[in-house]
Amino acid sequence: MPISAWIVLSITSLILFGGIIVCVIRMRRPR
Amino acid sequence: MREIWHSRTAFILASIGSAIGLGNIWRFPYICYKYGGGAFLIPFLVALLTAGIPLMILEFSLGHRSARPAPITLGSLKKPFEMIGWFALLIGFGIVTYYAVVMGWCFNYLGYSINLSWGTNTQDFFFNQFLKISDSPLHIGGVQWMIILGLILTWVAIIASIWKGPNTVGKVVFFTVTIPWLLLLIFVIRGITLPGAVEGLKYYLTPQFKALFDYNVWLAAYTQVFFSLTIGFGVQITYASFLPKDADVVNNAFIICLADSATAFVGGFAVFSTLGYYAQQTGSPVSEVVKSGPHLAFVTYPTIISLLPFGARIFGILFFLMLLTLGIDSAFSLVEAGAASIIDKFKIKRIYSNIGFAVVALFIGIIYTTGSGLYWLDIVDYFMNYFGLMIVAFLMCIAVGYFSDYRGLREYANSKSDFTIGRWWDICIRFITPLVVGVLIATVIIDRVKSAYEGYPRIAEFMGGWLVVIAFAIVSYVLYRLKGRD
Repeated sequence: MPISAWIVLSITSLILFGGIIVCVIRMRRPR
Repeated sequence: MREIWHSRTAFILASIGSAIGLGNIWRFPYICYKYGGGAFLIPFLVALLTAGIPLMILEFSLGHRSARPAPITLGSLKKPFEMIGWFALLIGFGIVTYYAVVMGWCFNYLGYSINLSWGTNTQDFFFNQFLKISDSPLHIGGVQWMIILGLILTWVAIIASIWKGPNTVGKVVFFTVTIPWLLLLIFVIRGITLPGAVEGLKYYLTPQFKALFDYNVWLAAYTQVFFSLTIGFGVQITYASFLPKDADVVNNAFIICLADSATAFVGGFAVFSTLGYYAQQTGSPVSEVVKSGPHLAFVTYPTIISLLPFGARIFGILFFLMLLTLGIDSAFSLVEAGAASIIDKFKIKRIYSNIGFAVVALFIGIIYTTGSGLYWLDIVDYFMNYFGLMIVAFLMCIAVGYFSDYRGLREYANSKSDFTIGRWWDICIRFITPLVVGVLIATVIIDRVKSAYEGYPRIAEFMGGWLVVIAFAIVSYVLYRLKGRD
Protein backbone atom coordinates (compact mmCIF):
# COMPACT_ATOMS: atom_id res chain seq x y z
CA MET A 1 0.00 0.00 0.00
CA PRO A 2 1.26 3.51 -0.65
CA ILE A 3 2.59 5.51 2.29
CA SER A 4 -0.38 7.92 2.08
CA ALA A 5 -2.77 5.00 2.73
CA TRP A 6 -0.75 4.00 5.79
CA ILE A 7 -0.88 7.58 7.09
CA VAL A 8 -4.66 7.71 6.62
CA LEU A 9 -5.01 4.34 8.34
CA SER A 10 -2.88 5.42 11.31
CA ILE A 11 -4.49 8.83 11.85
CA THR A 12 -8.06 7.55 11.53
CA SER A 13 -7.37 4.64 13.88
CA LEU A 14 -5.75 7.02 16.36
CA ILE A 15 -8.73 9.40 16.30
CA LEU A 16 -11.44 6.72 16.48
CA PHE A 17 -9.90 4.17 18.84
CA GLY A 18 -7.87 6.76 20.78
CA GLY A 19 -11.07 8.78 21.19
CA ILE A 20 -12.94 5.78 22.55
CA ILE A 21 -10.14 4.98 25.00
CA VAL A 22 -9.98 8.59 26.26
CA CYS A 23 -13.78 8.67 26.72
CA VAL A 24 -13.77 5.35 28.58
CA ILE A 25 -10.94 6.53 30.85
CA ARG A 26 -12.91 9.70 31.63
CA MET A 27 -16.01 7.77 32.66
CA ARG A 28 -16.89 8.93 36.15
CA ARG A 29 -20.55 8.19 36.58
CA PRO A 30 -21.62 4.64 37.37
CA ARG A 31 -24.90 5.06 35.47
CA MET B 1 -43.02 3.22 37.48
CA ARG B 2 -41.09 3.79 34.24
CA GLU B 3 -38.43 1.27 33.21
CA ILE B 4 -34.74 2.28 33.29
CA TRP B 5 -31.51 0.73 32.00
CA HIS B 6 -30.00 -1.55 34.60
CA SER B 7 -26.45 -0.33 33.88
CA ARG B 8 -24.51 2.28 31.92
CA THR B 9 -23.01 -0.46 29.77
CA ALA B 10 -26.50 -1.68 28.84
CA PHE B 11 -27.44 1.80 27.61
CA ILE B 12 -24.20 2.31 25.69
CA LEU B 13 -24.46 -1.10 24.03
CA ALA B 14 -28.15 -0.60 23.18
CA SER B 15 -27.41 2.73 21.60
CA ILE B 16 -24.36 1.40 19.75
CA GLY B 17 -26.44 -1.57 18.61
CA SER B 18 -29.07 0.79 17.27
CA ALA B 19 -26.47 2.84 15.41
CA ILE B 20 -24.47 -0.07 13.99
CA GLY B 21 -26.38 -1.83 11.27
CA LEU B 22 -26.03 -3.35 7.84
CA GLY B 23 -24.95 0.04 6.47
CA ASN B 24 -21.67 -0.15 8.43
CA ILE B 25 -20.70 -3.11 6.27
CA TRP B 26 -22.44 -2.58 2.96
CA ARG B 27 -22.55 1.21 2.69
CA PHE B 28 -19.68 2.97 4.47
CA PRO B 29 -16.78 1.10 2.80
CA TYR B 30 -18.31 1.61 -0.65
CA ILE B 31 -18.99 5.32 -0.05
CA CYS B 32 -15.44 5.73 1.23
CA TYR B 33 -14.03 4.08 -1.90
CA LYS B 34 -16.36 6.04 -4.22
CA TYR B 35 -15.68 9.46 -2.73
CA GLY B 36 -11.93 9.71 -2.59
CA GLY B 37 -10.73 6.58 -0.73
CA GLY B 38 -8.82 7.50 2.41
CA ALA B 39 -9.35 11.21 1.69
CA PHE B 40 -13.08 10.68 2.38
CA LEU B 41 -12.22 10.04 6.01
CA ILE B 42 -11.40 13.75 6.44
CA PRO B 43 -14.91 15.05 5.56
CA PHE B 44 -16.37 12.04 7.37
CA LEU B 45 -14.61 12.89 10.64
CA VAL B 46 -15.50 16.57 10.21
CA ALA B 47 -19.16 15.60 9.66
CA LEU B 48 -19.01 13.35 12.71
CA LEU B 49 -17.72 16.18 14.90
CA THR B 50 -19.93 18.95 13.52
CA ALA B 51 -23.21 17.08 12.97
CA GLY B 52 -23.19 13.47 14.20
CA ILE B 53 -21.94 13.97 17.75
CA PRO B 54 -23.80 17.30 18.30
CA LEU B 55 -27.09 15.75 17.17
CA MET B 56 -26.51 12.70 19.34
CA ILE B 57 -25.88 14.99 22.34
CA LEU B 58 -29.03 16.92 21.43
CA GLU B 59 -31.17 13.76 21.32
CA PHE B 60 -29.66 12.34 24.51
CA SER B 61 -30.09 15.64 26.40
CA LEU B 62 -33.71 16.03 25.34
CA GLY B 63 -34.61 12.43 26.21
CA HIS B 64 -32.71 12.44 29.49
CA ARG B 65 -34.21 15.75 30.66
CA SER B 66 -37.83 14.88 29.91
CA ALA B 67 -37.68 11.11 30.60
CA ARG B 68 -40.40 10.69 27.97
CA PRO B 69 -40.29 9.28 24.41
CA ALA B 70 -39.54 11.43 21.35
CA PRO B 71 -42.96 12.95 20.50
CA ILE B 72 -43.74 13.95 24.09
CA THR B 73 -40.18 15.21 24.59
CA LEU B 74 -40.31 17.44 21.52
CA GLY B 75 -43.86 18.50 22.42
CA SER B 76 -42.53 19.70 25.76
CA LEU B 77 -40.45 22.32 23.92
CA LYS B 78 -43.51 23.62 22.06
CA LYS B 79 -46.68 21.61 21.69
CA PRO B 80 -46.76 21.42 17.85
CA PHE B 81 -43.20 20.02 17.85
CA GLU B 82 -44.79 16.78 18.99
CA MET B 83 -45.56 16.23 15.30
CA ILE B 84 -41.81 16.15 14.52
CA GLY B 85 -41.46 13.32 17.02
CA TRP B 86 -44.32 11.29 15.52
CA PHE B 87 -43.01 11.93 12.02
CA ALA B 88 -39.55 10.70 13.07
CA LEU B 89 -41.04 7.52 14.51
CA LEU B 90 -43.13 6.92 11.40
CA ILE B 91 -40.01 7.25 9.24
CA GLY B 92 -38.43 4.62 11.49
CA PHE B 93 -41.57 2.50 11.10
CA GLY B 94 -41.35 2.83 7.30
CA ILE B 95 -37.74 1.69 7.43
CA VAL B 96 -38.29 -1.27 9.72
CA THR B 97 -41.00 -2.68 7.42
CA TYR B 98 -38.36 -3.38 4.75
CA TYR B 99 -35.34 -3.73 7.04
CA ALA B 100 -37.09 -6.78 8.53
CA VAL B 101 -37.48 -8.22 5.03
CA VAL B 102 -33.74 -7.85 4.39
CA MET B 103 -33.17 -9.69 7.65
CA GLY B 104 -35.62 -12.31 6.39
CA TRP B 105 -33.33 -12.73 3.36
CA CYS B 106 -30.42 -13.19 5.80
CA PHE B 107 -32.32 -15.98 7.61
CA ASN B 108 -32.82 -17.72 4.26
CA TYR B 109 -29.20 -17.26 3.25
CA LEU B 110 -28.09 -18.57 6.63
CA GLY B 111 -29.85 -21.80 5.64
CA TYR B 112 -28.43 -21.70 2.09
CA SER B 113 -24.90 -21.38 3.52
CA ILE B 114 -25.06 -24.94 4.85
CA ASN B 115 -24.99 -26.33 1.29
CA LEU B 116 -23.75 -23.20 -0.51
CA SER B 117 -27.07 -23.44 -2.38
CA TRP B 118 -26.42 -20.29 -4.37
CA GLY B 119 -24.13 -22.29 -6.69
CA THR B 120 -21.77 -20.58 -9.11
CA ASN B 121 -24.15 -18.01 -10.62
CA THR B 122 -24.99 -16.09 -7.45
CA GLN B 123 -26.53 -13.20 -9.34
CA ASP B 124 -29.05 -15.42 -11.10
CA PHE B 125 -29.72 -17.25 -7.83
CA PHE B 126 -30.45 -14.07 -5.86
CA PHE B 127 -32.47 -12.14 -8.41
CA ASN B 128 -34.21 -14.85 -10.41
CA GLN B 129 -34.48 -17.88 -8.15
CA PHE B 130 -34.67 -16.35 -4.68
CA LEU B 131 -36.43 -13.00 -5.26
CA LYS B 132 -38.07 -14.02 -8.56
CA ILE B 133 -37.69 -10.40 -9.49
CA SER B 134 -40.19 -8.90 -11.93
CA ASP B 135 -39.25 -6.47 -14.70
CA SER B 136 -40.84 -3.38 -13.15
CA PRO B 137 -42.19 -2.13 -9.80
CA LEU B 138 -45.61 -2.04 -11.43
CA HIS B 139 -45.52 -5.79 -12.14
CA ILE B 140 -46.01 -7.00 -8.60
CA GLY B 141 -45.52 -10.77 -9.10
CA GLY B 142 -46.28 -13.40 -6.49
CA VAL B 143 -45.05 -13.42 -2.91
CA GLN B 144 -42.09 -15.60 -2.00
CA TRP B 145 -43.16 -17.80 0.89
CA MET B 146 -39.63 -18.53 2.09
CA ILE B 147 -39.02 -14.78 2.41
CA ILE B 148 -42.29 -14.42 4.32
CA LEU B 149 -41.12 -17.20 6.63
CA GLY B 150 -37.85 -15.32 7.17
CA LEU B 151 -39.85 -12.14 7.77
CA ILE B 152 -41.98 -13.85 10.43
CA LEU B 153 -38.85 -15.20 12.13
CA THR B 154 -37.39 -11.69 12.13
CA TRP B 155 -40.48 -10.19 13.75
CA VAL B 156 -40.56 -12.93 16.39
CA ALA B 157 -36.91 -12.09 17.18
CA ILE B 158 -37.64 -8.35 17.29
CA ILE B 159 -40.65 -8.69 19.59
CA ALA B 160 -38.82 -11.13 21.88
CA SER B 161 -35.92 -8.63 22.12
CA ILE B 162 -38.12 -5.76 23.30
CA TRP B 163 -40.64 -7.85 25.25
CA LYS B 164 -40.13 -5.99 28.52
CA GLY B 165 -38.62 -2.81 27.11
CA PRO B 166 -35.19 -1.74 28.38
CA ASN B 167 -35.06 -4.70 30.76
CA THR B 168 -34.99 -7.18 27.88
CA VAL B 169 -33.14 -4.92 25.43
CA GLY B 170 -30.36 -4.36 28.00
CA LYS B 171 -29.72 -8.11 28.13
CA VAL B 172 -30.11 -8.87 24.42
CA VAL B 173 -27.63 -6.19 23.31
CA PHE B 174 -24.82 -7.84 25.25
CA PHE B 175 -25.00 -10.53 22.55
CA THR B 176 -26.22 -8.59 19.51
CA VAL B 177 -23.40 -6.04 19.78
CA THR B 178 -20.50 -8.20 20.89
CA ILE B 179 -21.18 -11.14 18.53
CA PRO B 180 -21.03 -9.06 15.31
CA TRP B 181 -17.88 -7.32 16.57
CA LEU B 182 -16.28 -10.71 17.13
CA LEU B 183 -17.45 -11.99 13.76
CA LEU B 184 -16.27 -8.83 12.04
CA LEU B 185 -12.85 -9.35 13.57
CA ILE B 186 -12.83 -12.92 12.24
CA PHE B 187 -13.71 -11.63 8.76
CA VAL B 188 -11.01 -8.96 8.89
CA ILE B 189 -8.39 -11.55 9.84
CA ARG B 190 -9.67 -13.98 7.20
CA GLY B 191 -9.82 -11.19 4.63
CA ILE B 192 -6.37 -9.69 5.11
CA THR B 193 -4.72 -13.12 5.05
CA LEU B 194 -6.16 -13.89 1.61
CA PRO B 195 -4.03 -13.37 -1.52
CA GLY B 196 -4.88 -10.08 -3.26
CA ALA B 197 -6.16 -8.47 -0.04
CA VAL B 198 -3.65 -5.63 -0.18
CA GLU B 199 -4.82 -4.67 -3.66
CA GLY B 200 -8.37 -4.33 -2.34
CA LEU B 201 -7.26 -2.30 0.67
CA LYS B 202 -5.36 0.05 -1.65
CA TYR B 203 -8.68 0.96 -3.26
CA TYR B 204 -10.25 1.50 0.14
CA LEU B 205 -7.54 3.59 1.76
CA THR B 206 -5.38 5.32 -0.84
CA PRO B 207 -6.40 8.99 -0.56
CA GLN B 208 -7.45 10.93 -3.65
CA PHE B 209 -7.04 14.39 -2.14
CA LYS B 210 -8.56 16.22 -5.10
CA ALA B 211 -11.92 14.74 -4.01
CA LEU B 212 -11.86 17.16 -1.07
CA PHE B 213 -12.59 20.01 -3.48
CA ASP B 214 -15.80 18.36 -4.66
CA TYR B 215 -18.77 19.48 -2.54
CA ASN B 216 -20.58 16.21 -3.36
CA VAL B 217 -17.96 14.39 -1.32
CA TRP B 218 -18.73 16.59 1.69
CA LEU B 219 -22.47 16.08 1.25
CA ALA B 220 -21.89 12.32 1.00
CA ALA B 221 -19.90 12.44 4.26
CA TYR B 222 -22.69 14.25 6.13
CA THR B 223 -25.30 11.91 4.63
CA GLN B 224 -23.28 8.87 5.73
CA VAL B 225 -23.02 10.23 9.29
CA PHE B 226 -26.79 10.84 9.47
CA PHE B 227 -27.63 7.38 8.11
CA SER B 228 -25.13 5.59 10.27
CA LEU B 229 -25.92 6.91 13.74
CA THR B 230 -29.70 6.28 13.83
CA ILE B 231 -30.30 9.94 14.63
CA GLY B 232 -33.51 11.57 13.45
CA PHE B 233 -35.70 8.57 14.21
CA GLY B 234 -36.48 9.42 17.83
CA VAL B 235 -34.66 6.25 18.90
CA GLN B 236 -31.84 7.95 20.77
CA ILE B 237 -34.28 10.33 22.51
CA THR B 238 -36.33 7.35 23.65
CA TYR B 239 -33.31 5.29 24.73
CA ALA B 240 -31.94 8.26 26.71
CA SER B 241 -35.34 8.71 28.36
CA PHE B 242 -34.79 5.36 30.08
CA LEU B 243 -31.59 6.65 31.75
CA PRO B 244 -31.62 7.33 35.47
CA LYS B 245 -31.36 11.00 36.50
CA ASP B 246 -27.69 10.81 37.51
CA ALA B 247 -26.60 9.29 34.19
CA ASP B 248 -24.06 10.79 31.77
CA VAL B 249 -25.01 12.44 28.47
CA VAL B 250 -22.00 13.92 26.64
CA ASN B 251 -19.42 11.20 27.20
CA ASN B 252 -21.92 8.49 26.23
CA ALA B 253 -22.68 10.34 22.99
CA PHE B 254 -18.97 10.52 22.12
CA ILE B 255 -18.38 6.83 22.91
CA ILE B 256 -21.37 5.70 20.84
CA CYS B 257 -20.57 7.85 17.80
CA LEU B 258 -16.90 6.88 17.82
CA ALA B 259 -17.71 3.18 18.29
CA ASP B 260 -20.16 3.25 15.39
CA SER B 261 -17.64 4.95 13.11
CA ALA B 262 -14.83 2.64 14.20
CA THR B 263 -17.01 -0.37 13.36
CA ALA B 264 -17.71 1.02 9.88
CA PHE B 265 -14.00 1.76 9.37
CA VAL B 266 -13.02 -1.77 10.40
CA GLY B 267 -15.89 -3.16 8.29
CA GLY B 268 -14.13 -1.67 5.28
CA PHE B 269 -11.14 -3.95 5.91
CA ALA B 270 -13.37 -7.04 5.89
CA VAL B 271 -15.09 -5.92 2.70
CA PHE B 272 -12.18 -4.60 0.65
CA SER B 273 -9.68 -7.30 1.58
CA THR B 274 -12.11 -9.97 0.34
CA LEU B 275 -12.94 -7.89 -2.74
CA GLY B 276 -9.20 -7.80 -3.47
CA TYR B 277 -9.12 -11.60 -3.23
CA TYR B 278 -12.19 -11.87 -5.48
CA ALA B 279 -10.62 -9.54 -8.06
CA GLN B 280 -7.45 -11.61 -8.07
CA GLN B 281 -9.35 -14.90 -8.44
CA THR B 282 -11.42 -13.58 -11.35
CA GLY B 283 -8.60 -11.61 -12.96
CA SER B 284 -10.61 -8.37 -12.84
CA PRO B 285 -9.58 -5.00 -11.40
CA VAL B 286 -11.03 -4.28 -7.93
CA SER B 287 -13.00 -1.34 -9.36
CA GLU B 288 -15.04 -3.80 -11.44
CA VAL B 289 -16.05 -6.04 -8.53
CA VAL B 290 -16.90 -3.33 -5.99
CA LYS B 291 -20.57 -3.29 -5.07
CA SER B 292 -22.66 -1.96 -2.20
CA GLY B 293 -25.98 -2.75 -0.57
CA PRO B 294 -27.84 -6.02 -1.12
CA HIS B 295 -25.73 -6.82 -4.19
CA LEU B 296 -22.60 -6.90 -2.04
CA ALA B 297 -24.18 -9.04 0.69
CA PHE B 298 -26.24 -11.46 -1.39
CA VAL B 299 -24.36 -11.72 -4.69
CA THR B 300 -20.71 -10.69 -4.35
CA TYR B 301 -20.07 -12.07 -0.86
CA PRO B 302 -21.65 -15.51 -1.52
CA THR B 303 -19.44 -15.74 -4.62
CA ILE B 304 -16.36 -14.92 -2.55
CA ILE B 305 -17.41 -17.39 0.16
CA SER B 306 -17.67 -20.15 -2.45
CA LEU B 307 -14.19 -19.25 -3.71
CA LEU B 308 -12.57 -19.50 -0.26
CA PRO B 309 -9.81 -22.11 -0.10
CA PHE B 310 -11.31 -23.78 3.01
CA GLY B 311 -14.24 -23.47 5.43
CA ALA B 312 -16.61 -21.92 2.89
CA ARG B 313 -19.73 -23.23 4.63
CA ILE B 314 -18.59 -22.06 8.06
CA PHE B 315 -17.72 -18.59 6.74
CA GLY B 316 -21.07 -18.46 4.95
CA ILE B 317 -22.93 -19.20 8.15
CA LEU B 318 -20.81 -16.73 10.13
CA PHE B 319 -21.29 -13.99 7.53
CA PHE B 320 -25.08 -14.14 7.54
CA LEU B 321 -25.10 -14.56 11.31
CA MET B 322 -23.06 -11.36 11.45
CA LEU B 323 -25.57 -9.53 9.24
CA LEU B 324 -28.48 -10.79 11.35
CA THR B 325 -26.93 -9.73 14.64
CA LEU B 326 -25.83 -6.41 13.13
CA GLY B 327 -29.35 -5.68 11.92
CA ILE B 328 -31.54 -6.98 14.71
CA ASP B 329 -30.67 -4.32 17.29
CA SER B 330 -31.17 -1.50 14.76
CA ALA B 331 -34.56 -2.99 13.87
CA PHE B 332 -35.79 -3.45 17.41
CA SER B 333 -34.61 0.01 18.45
CA LEU B 334 -36.91 1.52 15.81
CA VAL B 335 -39.80 -0.63 17.07
CA GLU B 336 -39.06 0.11 20.73
CA ALA B 337 -39.03 3.87 20.07
CA GLY B 338 -42.45 3.64 18.41
CA ALA B 339 -43.94 1.24 20.94
CA ALA B 340 -42.66 3.27 23.93
CA SER B 341 -44.25 6.43 22.48
CA ILE B 342 -47.63 4.76 21.97
CA ILE B 343 -47.48 3.25 25.47
CA ASP B 344 -46.57 6.64 26.95
CA LYS B 345 -49.23 8.71 25.21
CA PHE B 346 -52.14 6.31 24.97
CA LYS B 347 -51.38 4.14 28.00
CA ILE B 348 -51.71 0.94 26.01
CA LYS B 349 -50.23 -2.20 27.56
CA ARG B 350 -46.77 -3.00 26.19
CA ILE B 351 -47.82 -6.44 24.96
CA TYR B 352 -50.59 -4.97 22.77
CA SER B 353 -48.40 -2.14 21.54
CA ASN B 354 -45.54 -4.50 20.58
CA ILE B 355 -47.69 -7.11 18.89
CA GLY B 356 -49.88 -4.52 17.14
CA PHE B 357 -46.76 -2.79 15.78
CA ALA B 358 -45.27 -6.09 14.59
CA VAL B 359 -48.45 -7.31 12.89
CA VAL B 360 -49.02 -4.04 10.98
CA ALA B 361 -45.35 -3.81 9.95
CA LEU B 362 -45.28 -7.48 8.94
CA PHE B 363 -48.32 -7.09 6.69
CA ILE B 364 -46.90 -3.97 5.06
CA GLY B 365 -43.62 -5.85 4.64
CA ILE B 366 -45.32 -8.47 2.44
CA ILE B 367 -45.10 -6.04 -0.51
CA TYR B 368 -41.29 -6.40 -0.31
CA THR B 369 -41.55 -10.19 -0.54
CA THR B 370 -43.12 -10.01 -4.00
CA GLY B 371 -41.35 -10.09 -7.34
CA SER B 372 -41.30 -6.29 -7.40
CA GLY B 373 -40.28 -6.07 -3.74
CA LEU B 374 -36.69 -5.06 -4.38
CA TYR B 375 -37.79 -2.09 -6.51
CA TRP B 376 -40.22 -0.87 -3.83
CA LEU B 377 -37.61 -1.40 -1.16
CA ASP B 378 -35.17 0.72 -3.13
CA ILE B 379 -37.68 3.56 -3.66
CA VAL B 380 -38.99 3.62 -0.08
CA ASP B 381 -35.46 3.36 1.34
CA TYR B 382 -34.33 6.35 -0.71
CA PHE B 383 -37.24 8.55 0.35
CA MET B 384 -37.20 7.51 4.02
CA ASN B 385 -33.49 8.24 4.36
CA TYR B 386 -32.73 11.05 1.93
CA PHE B 387 -35.95 12.88 2.56
CA GLY B 388 -37.73 11.79 5.76
CA LEU B 389 -34.69 11.52 7.99
CA MET B 390 -33.22 14.76 6.66
CA ILE B 391 -36.45 16.67 7.29
CA VAL B 392 -36.54 15.42 10.88
CA ALA B 393 -32.88 16.33 11.49
CA PHE B 394 -33.48 19.78 10.01
CA LEU B 395 -36.67 20.45 11.99
CA MET B 396 -35.14 19.17 15.21
CA CYS B 397 -32.19 21.55 14.88
CA ILE B 398 -34.51 24.48 14.10
CA ALA B 399 -36.87 23.55 16.97
CA VAL B 400 -34.05 23.38 19.50
CA GLY B 401 -31.74 26.03 18.05
CA TYR B 402 -34.33 28.75 17.40
CA PHE B 403 -37.51 27.98 19.32
CA SER B 404 -36.24 26.74 22.66
CA ASP B 405 -33.58 27.42 25.23
CA TYR B 406 -30.63 25.73 23.51
CA ARG B 407 -28.15 27.20 25.98
CA GLY B 408 -30.20 25.75 28.82
CA LEU B 409 -30.15 22.35 27.12
CA ARG B 410 -26.35 22.53 26.76
CA GLU B 411 -25.99 23.53 30.40
CA TYR B 412 -28.26 20.64 31.36
CA ALA B 413 -26.11 18.21 29.35
CA ASN B 414 -22.95 19.61 30.96
CA SER B 415 -24.41 19.31 34.45
CA LYS B 416 -24.98 15.62 33.82
CA SER B 417 -21.75 14.67 32.11
CA ASP B 418 -18.26 13.35 32.75
CA PHE B 419 -16.92 16.25 30.65
CA THR B 420 -18.51 19.38 29.26
CA ILE B 421 -19.18 20.86 25.83
CA GLY B 422 -18.72 24.48 24.84
CA ARG B 423 -20.34 26.92 22.46
CA TRP B 424 -19.15 24.93 19.45
CA TRP B 425 -22.19 22.75 20.08
CA ASP B 426 -24.53 25.76 19.70
CA ILE B 427 -22.87 26.65 16.39
CA CYS B 428 -23.21 23.09 15.09
CA ILE B 429 -26.88 22.81 16.07
CA ARG B 430 -27.94 26.30 15.01
CA PHE B 431 -25.90 26.82 11.85
CA ILE B 432 -23.75 23.99 10.48
CA THR B 433 -26.16 21.04 10.68
CA PRO B 434 -29.31 22.89 9.46
CA LEU B 435 -27.31 24.46 6.64
CA VAL B 436 -25.87 21.16 5.41
CA VAL B 437 -29.17 19.29 5.84
CA GLY B 438 -31.03 22.12 4.10
CA VAL B 439 -28.66 21.85 1.12
CA LEU B 440 -29.11 18.06 1.08
CA ILE B 441 -32.91 18.34 1.07
CA ALA B 442 -32.80 20.96 -1.69
CA THR B 443 -30.46 18.74 -3.74
CA VAL B 444 -32.83 15.78 -3.39
CA ILE B 445 -35.86 17.84 -4.43
CA ILE B 446 -34.05 19.30 -7.46
CA ASP B 447 -32.81 15.85 -8.50
CA ARG B 448 -36.27 14.34 -8.23
CA VAL B 449 -37.92 17.16 -10.12
CA LYS B 450 -35.39 16.69 -12.93
CA SER B 451 -35.85 12.93 -13.20
CA ALA B 452 -37.44 9.99 -11.38
CA TYR B 453 -35.26 8.14 -8.91
CA GLU B 454 -33.16 5.51 -10.70
CA GLY B 455 -35.39 5.85 -13.78
CA TYR B 456 -38.37 4.18 -12.09
CA PRO B 457 -41.83 5.03 -13.49
CA ARG B 458 -43.06 8.33 -12.04
CA ILE B 459 -46.16 6.65 -10.63
CA ALA B 460 -44.02 4.13 -8.69
CA GLU B 461 -41.80 6.94 -7.39
CA PHE B 462 -44.89 8.84 -6.28
CA MET B 463 -46.51 5.87 -4.54
CA GLY B 464 -43.38 4.55 -2.84
CA GLY B 465 -41.87 7.96 -2.10
CA TRP B 466 -43.86 11.16 -2.02
CA LEU B 467 -47.15 9.50 -1.05
CA VAL B 468 -45.54 7.70 1.88
CA VAL B 469 -43.90 10.90 3.13
CA ILE B 470 -47.19 12.85 2.78
CA ALA B 471 -49.16 10.03 4.49
CA PHE B 472 -46.67 10.00 7.37
CA ALA B 473 -47.01 13.78 7.74
CA ILE B 474 -50.82 13.46 7.95
CA VAL B 475 -50.65 10.55 10.43
CA SER B 476 -48.19 12.59 12.54
CA TYR B 477 -50.73 15.39 12.69
CA VAL B 478 -53.53 12.96 13.65
CA LEU B 479 -51.41 11.36 16.40
CA TYR B 480 -50.53 14.83 17.68
CA ARG B 481 -54.19 15.88 17.76
CA LEU B 482 -55.41 12.69 19.41
CA LYS B 483 -55.88 13.16 23.10
CA GLY B 484 -53.57 11.02 25.20
CA ARG B 485 -54.59 9.28 28.41
CA ASP B 486 -53.18 10.48 31.71
